[in-house]
Amino acid sequence: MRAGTPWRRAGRGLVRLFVYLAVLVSVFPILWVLSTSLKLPRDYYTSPPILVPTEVTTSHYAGLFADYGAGQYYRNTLVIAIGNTLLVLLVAAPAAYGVARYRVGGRYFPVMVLGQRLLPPVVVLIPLFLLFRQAHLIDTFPGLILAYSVFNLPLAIWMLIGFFEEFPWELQDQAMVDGCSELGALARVVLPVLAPAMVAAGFFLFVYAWNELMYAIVLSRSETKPIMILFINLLRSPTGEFFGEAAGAVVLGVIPAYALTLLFQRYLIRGLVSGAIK
Amino acid sequence: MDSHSAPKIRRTRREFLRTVGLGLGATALAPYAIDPSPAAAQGTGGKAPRFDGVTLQVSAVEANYMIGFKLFEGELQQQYGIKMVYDTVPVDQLYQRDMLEFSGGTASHDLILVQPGWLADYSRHLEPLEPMARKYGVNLGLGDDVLPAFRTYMSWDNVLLAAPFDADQLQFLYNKVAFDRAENRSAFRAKYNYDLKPPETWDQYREMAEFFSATDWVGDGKKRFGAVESWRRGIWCYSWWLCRFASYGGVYFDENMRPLVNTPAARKALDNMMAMRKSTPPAIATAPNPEMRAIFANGDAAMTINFSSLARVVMTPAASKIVGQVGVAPVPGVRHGSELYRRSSFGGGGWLLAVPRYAKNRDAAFLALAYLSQPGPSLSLALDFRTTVDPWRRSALQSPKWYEIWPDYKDYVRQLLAVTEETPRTGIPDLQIPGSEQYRSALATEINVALVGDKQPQQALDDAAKAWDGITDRFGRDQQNAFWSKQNDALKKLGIVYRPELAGS
Amino acid sequence: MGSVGTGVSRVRGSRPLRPWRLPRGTLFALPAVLVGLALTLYPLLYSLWVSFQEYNMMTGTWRLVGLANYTEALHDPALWRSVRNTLQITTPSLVLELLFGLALALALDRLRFRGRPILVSLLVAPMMIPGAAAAMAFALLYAEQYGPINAWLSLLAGRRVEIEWLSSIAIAPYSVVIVEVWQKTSFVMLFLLAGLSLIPEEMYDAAKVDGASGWQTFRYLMLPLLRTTLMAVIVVRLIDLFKMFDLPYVLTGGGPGVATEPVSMYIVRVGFQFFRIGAGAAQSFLLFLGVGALALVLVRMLSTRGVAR
Repeated sequence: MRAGTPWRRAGRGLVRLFVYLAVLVSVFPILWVLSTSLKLPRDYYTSPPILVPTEVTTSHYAGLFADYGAGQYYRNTLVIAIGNTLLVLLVAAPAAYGVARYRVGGRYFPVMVLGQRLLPPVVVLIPLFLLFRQAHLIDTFPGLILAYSVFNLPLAIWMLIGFFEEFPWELQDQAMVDGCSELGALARVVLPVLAPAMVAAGFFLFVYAWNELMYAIVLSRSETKPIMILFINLLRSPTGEFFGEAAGAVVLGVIPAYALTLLFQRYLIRGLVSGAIK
Repeated sequence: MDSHSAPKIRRTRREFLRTVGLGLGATALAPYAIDPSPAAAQGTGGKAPRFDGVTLQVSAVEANYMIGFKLFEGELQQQYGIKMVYDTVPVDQLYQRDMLEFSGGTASHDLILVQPGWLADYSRHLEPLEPMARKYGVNLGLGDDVLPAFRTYMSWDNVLLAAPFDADQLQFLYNKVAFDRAENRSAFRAKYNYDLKPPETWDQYREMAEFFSATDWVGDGKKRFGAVESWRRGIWCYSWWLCRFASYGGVYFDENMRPLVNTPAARKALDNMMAMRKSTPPAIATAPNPEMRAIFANGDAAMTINFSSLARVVMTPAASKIVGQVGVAPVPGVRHGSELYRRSSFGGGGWLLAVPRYAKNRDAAFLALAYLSQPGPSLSLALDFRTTVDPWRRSALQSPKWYEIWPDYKDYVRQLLAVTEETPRTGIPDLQIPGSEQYRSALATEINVALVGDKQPQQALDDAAKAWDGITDRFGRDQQNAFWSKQNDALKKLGIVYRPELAGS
Repeated sequence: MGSVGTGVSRVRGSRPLRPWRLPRGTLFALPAVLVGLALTLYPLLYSLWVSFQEYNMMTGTWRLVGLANYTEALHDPALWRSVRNTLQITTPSLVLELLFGLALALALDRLRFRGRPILVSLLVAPMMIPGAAAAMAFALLYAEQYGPINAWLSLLAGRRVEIEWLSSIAIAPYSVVIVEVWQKTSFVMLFLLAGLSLIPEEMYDAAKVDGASGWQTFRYLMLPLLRTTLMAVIVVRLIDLFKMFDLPYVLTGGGPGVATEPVSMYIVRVGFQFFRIGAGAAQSFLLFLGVGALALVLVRMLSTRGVAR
């Protein structure tokens, strides 16, 4: 906390206000979704609109679990998202290392890697579907975990390259001069510092995998359906009477992602904000 | 490599078990295949074939339909030993995903839901039902008990391929406070010179909407809307336009496969919608249907045309603020001399049950299909509002159970059943030729663009006609013409022909 | 030396090009390349091949049509309209996300906040729901009669305000922008926070010793060091923005009319919804080439700029 001129302090005060406002804006729509999930259908749309309904119902949540089998979808999503995140990090980190350190693939390799994320999912999904059908990977967890890498792997490589590039690699060279092997130096010097960055990347990957729709629609059936499919289903029903249930599905979906954030909070926030190097 | 052989062994064992199971199943079925009892009704105890251990993959499309299927899990298990698991896929991805599978000669599901308009495209992938019915001695009962319009949905090229499951329709609802209040009645009579009652024609509908729009027709000081519908781009603006177009005498194509979507009938339909924009909520052309329905269910609009499920929702206290204040009437039509020509549409919300020809458990799926289509089960599906299924059998509409749901509103039930019965008698069925989805989407986009003022109405309709010609050419004009002739004949049997004179009035 | 980005922290002599090192690097990248090849090269090539054909639904057969799909796409005014829509939504979104994301990252990095982890967790919430869910939430908020946004504006203005967030052709695209920015600003923020975390604290102390003001510290110390991260996040966001589908689809359905229909939605509608895979693939490749070129230009621009000193 640096003391400074009154202007400086006022400036900082404004900045603080800005951050708090941002928090409010970020959270409010989600609160509205939460509120909708607890409302009776006649309160979804009212004039004046109400955030806290006079009459609260848990029937939407009960319905989600009892009628729509949300529990199983939940479990499916966890398996797929966690599995994919781990797989992608495992594969992407060495690749990013190779690019950052050894310039593998040339100058435009990273952009090319990312570019393939650009194709609309549909383009990729049709041949992927045919491939998977041959390989009997439709509606299997390994299949989906593998399939999600199509969009997550490029992102992971790209993100990690960005972080790895910032790293002062002379620290590793130093360690090697001091007698470590390359991998040893990696483990002792580099990894601890880059770990928060990898966790941050992992967080993004997890969220993307968790919320993915198109791949799940094409490649999963009854065994591996993730919970967001249930959400989209309830939302898009042509007569649309299931906003409450749809909202409930979103809330259910947010909870585990949030739990994971809070779990890794220490790594994520402290690592990101204060930086191990500092 | 070790990890490679383990799954292979498992798979082989699974395949072995499956073959054994099939073998046993075949042996069990053999007697029935050889000697089918012609008049065996459903559920005659020992005669029912068993499929123990068979799990049907059901493509239930919507979560609420899944509830419907689940209602009968017990009975199907008991009668046939069939179990079911469900797959739900958003409607707009369904066609694509099914086609993807079928194009490779495979199907992940045993029992699927299909939109009537898609039947042509799905036809060569579906298992014909009649041979199966003969094989198991099942009377599907899909004759006269099925309401007229839905009868055209079930076959393609004279082969029975599907049974109805859900049968939406567009209905007209009005707020009785608006229509019964003495001040409203006298003011209306003074201004328009005829009595205020459910409109018979689109012009009357427009006038009433204008009358109610931005006025306080309840008497509490709050200004409300005249009418509310749903004209969002897609199936919505298309269906709401279609019921006007058809009642102005319109039909999809003429005898030579020329699209009739830019004729005076089409123009009048679109003009009516555009004229009503000032008496309807501004968001009508983009908001999701639930928001528009809420406007009516909150009592903020005097009239509405919407899916038949709204008629039930407005009588549910948890979802409506106007329980008991609603009336049902047929969708308006067009007056031509002494004739009142009415043609509602079905909103594209109908669904059919079918069995893909590549399904693993075709026979079991067929029996499930047959069971669910019987009068008893299909009525139960309709009576349980959680499923959102509408009745499609005449016998279902004659059941006294409807009165038990709303014992205090017998008049309303009477009205509702009457309208529900009339729409399939006079309404125009969905377009059912190959590529119907493409035709629908192209026209819907143009209609919506015109409605929001981004294009002149006639230009939009002309562009739609051009798009339709393009689609026809892409599929092969002669082929499409042949298919259209067949549907045209079916429409003629229902009394639906192109009547250009109605748009001249 | 060709590079994706040159960080100040890399000392020139410390990366020897000893020959026996090179295979090592490739070894590290190998698993990724293998997975990538298997999963993406095949679909890419397949789609490319498909883009030169046409699929007949009734007969289930393919027909080679050469470049017909491509020429049809390039001459399709509706496709170009959707590209225009995309730009109209993408540009403000990208700019605002960067501005807000950077501002938040800087604020959170340099100022002390009580309960900072909780703040960050809350800020990150919008990212954690799917685009379709964000669209549903905002559809409820934007509702003209019943939505809280208009309700509050009415309260503030003292009279009934009913902005046509989603039904006005002029406003609707910006309503989409708002939802998009709401959703993805925290992505940018987190990314930049990670980048900021790699700047050693000594550098700030050195700057203070040199008498640098806050603005100078930002402009000459942090920005250059963030360049790689910034570029990384810009390219990622750019690509994701061009792929935007769920959000406008659920929020407006592409309406009013076609005002908010981005190119990915157009491709899906005209190309794939009816199983016109060939045409859809061709359109997708055109999009791919277009945005790919844009991304390459950006990368080139951002990485050849010298380090400001």
